[in-house]
Amino acid sequence: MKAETQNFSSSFGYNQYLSSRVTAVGEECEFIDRFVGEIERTTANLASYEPISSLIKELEQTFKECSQPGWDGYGGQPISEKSLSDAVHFILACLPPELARKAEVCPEPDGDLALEWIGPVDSSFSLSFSGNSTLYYAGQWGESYSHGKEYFHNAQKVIRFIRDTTG
Amino acid sequence: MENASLPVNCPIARFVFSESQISRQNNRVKDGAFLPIFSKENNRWETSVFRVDGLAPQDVVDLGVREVESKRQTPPLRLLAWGENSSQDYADQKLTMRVDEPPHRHKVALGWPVEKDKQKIIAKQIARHSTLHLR
Repeated sequence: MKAETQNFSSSFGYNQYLSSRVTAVGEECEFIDRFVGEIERTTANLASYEPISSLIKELEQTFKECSQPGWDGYGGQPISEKSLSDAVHFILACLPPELARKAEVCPEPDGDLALEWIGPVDSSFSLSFSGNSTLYYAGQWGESYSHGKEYFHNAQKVIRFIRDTTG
Repeated sequence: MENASLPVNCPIARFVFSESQISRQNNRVKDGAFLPIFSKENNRWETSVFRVDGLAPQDVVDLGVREVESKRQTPPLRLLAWGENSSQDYADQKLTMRVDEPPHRHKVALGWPVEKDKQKIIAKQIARHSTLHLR
């Protein structure tokens, strides 16, 4: 065996082969590392958007469940397609995944969809989508509160309120 | 007949038939469940509630089933829960209670502002003080 190795070493330049082989393995490893890293990054990106897609699915489900007049037992109007559209638009364009994860969907009797957030210490925030690119909100933080309306282009103010609520 | 006719701190139930209007995770009735609807017949915003003083939880369920669930055929409803408040919670928001019978024990909360954001902050305060009871 030793002789064979010596022959191999002498005829093919074993050290040179070994060196080139290590380099080749290194390049393959580097390629694989890059490939795996790319997969991991892509998977992480997809995972971070999971709350967004879950929330949109919940909105669509609520829209279907509340599509008939009187769905609430009191003559509530069917949830409007425009409200659903505005809510989805807002979520995709403005809502960070970590805030989407904490949102609760609520249908409202005037046909609007709303998102609600509950904070850790007696705080909450509610945001209604009326289907005209207008956001109606109401927030309460301990003894202080705020309410009003904003347009989509000023959604960052609303996002700040949601962050204040969720901590 | 308004708030004066109610016992002090009379328990008031808002029946909930939509799973999306309660949060089992946070053990609460969501704000939106307390928002009013506009009655064209009466030309006013109103929230339908029932006084439940003197009733055990099963009696409250029976009331909701008998007076609301069984009377609405389309879409079919199932009583899931109710949010219970004191009449004072409504009074604190400057809402008044008016008897609106039949159905038995039925009242409407009146005095809602027209603006949606103002309705929302009132509904939020009522929800904040409400206790969720599951059927």
